[in-house]
Amino acid sequence: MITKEDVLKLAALSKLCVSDEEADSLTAQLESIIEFAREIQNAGFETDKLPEITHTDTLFRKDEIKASIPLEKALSNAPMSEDGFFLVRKWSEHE
Amino acid sequence: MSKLLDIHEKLINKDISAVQLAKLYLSKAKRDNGALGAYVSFTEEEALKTAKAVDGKIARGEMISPLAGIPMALKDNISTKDIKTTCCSRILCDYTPVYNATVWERLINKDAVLIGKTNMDEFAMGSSCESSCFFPAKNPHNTEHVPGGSSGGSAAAVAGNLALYALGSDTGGSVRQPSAHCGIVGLKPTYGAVSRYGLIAYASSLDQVGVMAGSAEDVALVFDSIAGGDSMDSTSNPQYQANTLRDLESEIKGKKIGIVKELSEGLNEDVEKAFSEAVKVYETLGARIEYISLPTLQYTLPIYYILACAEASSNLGRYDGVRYGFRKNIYEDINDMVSQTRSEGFGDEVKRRILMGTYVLSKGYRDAYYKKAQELRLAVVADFKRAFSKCDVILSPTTPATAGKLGTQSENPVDNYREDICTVPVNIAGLPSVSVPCGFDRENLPIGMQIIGRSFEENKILNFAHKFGQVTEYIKETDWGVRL
Repeated sequence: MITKEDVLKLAALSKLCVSDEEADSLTAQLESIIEFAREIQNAGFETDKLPEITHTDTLFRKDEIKASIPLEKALSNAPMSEDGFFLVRKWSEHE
Repeated sequence: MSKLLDIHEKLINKDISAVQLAKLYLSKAKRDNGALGAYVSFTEEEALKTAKAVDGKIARGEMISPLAGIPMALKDNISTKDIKTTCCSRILCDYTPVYNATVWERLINKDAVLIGKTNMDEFAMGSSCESSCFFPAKNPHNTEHVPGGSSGGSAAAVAGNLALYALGSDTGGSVRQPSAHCGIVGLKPTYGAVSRYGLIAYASSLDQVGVMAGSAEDVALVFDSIAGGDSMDSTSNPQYQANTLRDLESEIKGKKIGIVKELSEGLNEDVEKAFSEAVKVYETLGARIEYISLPTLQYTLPIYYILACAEASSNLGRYDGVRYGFRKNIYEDINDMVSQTRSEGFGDEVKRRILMGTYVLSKGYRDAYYKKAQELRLAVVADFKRAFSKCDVILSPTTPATAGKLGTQSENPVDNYREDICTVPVNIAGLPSVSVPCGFDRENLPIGMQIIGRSFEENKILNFAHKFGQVTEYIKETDWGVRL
């Protein structure tokens, strides 16, 4: 069983704000999804010597320097930027 | 059969100019979009600029690609440089990519004419196109019904004659299911056949860009143009070179089709009937039918939702309101800023999947859910391998039922997830599959079946799709859009 406290903890880990009311409905919904996911606990298939999913091993490429996105472009979608940096409000009291 | 090649001929013969064609599609798309909700933005300037360049090439007698000047659409999770790409989410509603997705770059090189970006379920999480942050898309066969999802806008654009083809993305059926619901052909390629560079990530081990069009031949033409390795995507196969057009006319006499017991159960009566008729069509074409069982398929839905949610919770961690996208501007501290931004920026289904993903990856639950699902994923791959030792392709309905009415999705998310039963096994095993129209239900809504192949055998499944299309008439024009 998943509890309302579990949902609030998961929300904090996921950086989501969840109101008391939302937590109630999410608890019921997540419980039903988790119960559905629990179906795999019954599966007892032999999983030794199974094939790889992908077609190939990890690919490597030469570590060559290529043109990157210009700084101005990289910052163009930022809600706030200044002097070539992403800008957020100061949150640390340490100087 | 091929609309794209017909129009290519008309362009070459100067029966119509690329600019006239682009203007025609833009005007009809704008006219009918209020009813169909297929597009979330139009790219008129870009379309007319390319069309003009194509007309210039034709006037100078230069060779042009069969895709040159052809009006098309892209799902709004495919990055387009200097053109908004929103994933139909509030968190990205003002996001403008600074680079192109490889698939779009390849189509630009063919002088494709982009009409606009298409509607979708937010972050491709859904199967009705109702979780878009803008408005729902509708089914051109009956606008009281959903077009399916998540690539519902792409399917509605093609079925509504507002584009000649469209790209979508398929993580658990998001190209095939809306193609089935809208009566068009939709291909989900092998994992690694098409570059994912610039496709905004949902579940990276399952996502693939796919093609939707009015015939298998048109899908083949577009697929051959976008497929192949890409140095920007290390999961794309550098050796793969698609040439599906070459094999479209191959004989299917004597080839073996597998019918999977686990994918033929619990179907709506009309779907069951249409599917059995489709099997008979293949028998008359000379194919042999093998009835097979893949016992692992009973677990593919939970495997899928565990893995997809786990990957989504990680992939969507990047939306923090710092580097791009929406930011909530009233906050107490940085933690509060990120949490408030994400809470207002994401819709309900996205939040549910992030929470579920965080749960299955957290201490104490990881082994029981995530690790177990990964192990079972390999068992599913092995099961398909065994099946393909007995048959050339596997045939199943694309969906257990036809398109539902708008606003009738269940309050319980699991009821909605269960509708993906036929499509998700293919993504789990990384296989190619094409959905093809195979009938209509009693309300005249389209029914689709899917043809699943071995890895990198898109040529074979498109050959089967093409042969079926040649002897049946299940692709019906709707009354919307451009009628050429």
